[in-house]
Amino acid sequence: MRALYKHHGPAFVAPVVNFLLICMRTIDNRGVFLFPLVALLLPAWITASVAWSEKGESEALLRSLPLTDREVARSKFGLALTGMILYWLLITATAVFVSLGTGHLAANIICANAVWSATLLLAGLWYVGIWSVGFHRIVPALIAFIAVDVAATTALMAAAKATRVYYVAAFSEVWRAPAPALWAVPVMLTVALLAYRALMGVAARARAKGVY
Amino acid sequence: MTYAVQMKDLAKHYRGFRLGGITMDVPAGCVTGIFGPNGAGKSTLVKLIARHMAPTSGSLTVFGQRYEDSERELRRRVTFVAEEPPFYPDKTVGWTGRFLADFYEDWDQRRFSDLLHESRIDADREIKHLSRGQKTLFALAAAFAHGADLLVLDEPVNGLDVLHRRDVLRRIREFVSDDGKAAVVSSHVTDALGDIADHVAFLREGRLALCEERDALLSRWKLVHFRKGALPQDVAGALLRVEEHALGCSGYTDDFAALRDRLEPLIASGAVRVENAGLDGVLVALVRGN
Repeated sequence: MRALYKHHGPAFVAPVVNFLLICMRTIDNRGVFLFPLVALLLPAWITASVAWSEKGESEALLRSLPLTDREVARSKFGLALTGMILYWLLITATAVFVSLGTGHLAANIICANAVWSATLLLAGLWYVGIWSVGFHRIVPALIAFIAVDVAATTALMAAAKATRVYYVAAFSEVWRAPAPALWAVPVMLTVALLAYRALMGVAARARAKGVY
Repeated sequence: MTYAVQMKDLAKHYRGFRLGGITMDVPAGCVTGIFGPNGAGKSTLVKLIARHMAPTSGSLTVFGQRYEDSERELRRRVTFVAEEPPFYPDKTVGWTGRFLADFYEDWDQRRFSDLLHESRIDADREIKHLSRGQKTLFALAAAFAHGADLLVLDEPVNGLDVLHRRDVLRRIREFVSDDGKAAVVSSHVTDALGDIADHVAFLREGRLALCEERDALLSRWKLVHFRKGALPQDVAGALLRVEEHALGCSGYTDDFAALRDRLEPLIASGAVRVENAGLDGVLVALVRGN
């Protein structure tokens, strides 16, 4: 198991550095309104990590090792979760830094955690898909998702900067509304982690069926 | 006799292919060869034995245990060597050895290094730069190092030069010389593996055509050469894959003992000549039949 962590770890940790640069730039630009858009890049980042890790994976080798399907699922989900924890620290810190003194702290914290929770489930769903139909069949979906997410987020950012209203007024209206209470964050995270754990079980069963 | 693998009505169905009704036992202490033409289901069967895929139905036990009950234990005891061993191509031999060692408590690094040295495989070479034969020898070295009990190989000598083929076959034989170990080897060519297989099984169109001890099989199966019209009608009719050549006819019998008394006078008169069918001959007769 330790060997699997060592082998696949870079795929989940290295992109965090890349994301850190984006977050630092957002903080540097005091991008309080841009922050939700930056957070929207997170699903693309974790999808790229899953794709990078699985591209170099040898399913036949894994099946030769004395590991149960559940253990393989646990190690892969553990890796993705490790990466996601680093992202959580990053986007939460970024949300705090960009929102300090602006009155948008709670909104941005909730936004960060909502995106993070959805992204965690997305990572689990990718594994369910990969082990259900095979990596090579999922590749087009992985690439399309990354491309659409990055392109859409970049376009939204460009539009926000060009109009200097940080995207449409309606969006600003939402942001000006009273923020949801912060207690929603631990609830959201707990639900996401429980759902992620359930997805791990589904993924392990998909592996056991061995549909490759 | 103890069995390494026991299968009963084992079946695997997927789009465009059905492997079915496989009931056979693989004895411990032996090399069992699984032969058949391309597309007969050999690779599917060995992958089922190594649990690289789950069966659609039927039962399979390895050393008396089911994968459903003892998956981790069986994956430790069973080593699968694919036609193209699936190690990470960009990693070195040494790295891969350390990677594998992490999964096995009783990994014997000295044995592993010795076997690599014997096979002239440099630990600093990347896996992708090894020849297919070297990759197979590397996989076999790993199987020895972690003390596997069952070796399952899919087309291990396909495309190998004569030197690597000899090394691979020697290693497989060496593996089963240890008490209680067994090897299951699939191949579409019988000439090389036939020599090291103690038991043979033939697959045809996803079904098990026969499975028995090689020597018993070869004593039953003979190739009968005869002058046209020299054989009584019923004897000629009992032969498989009868062909006419410029010098006469030939056909296979799968029960030479039953024909021996009737053929002996003809053999003495020179009208009939009998030779060993060989595993190739058995395969051809089974697949092409009548």
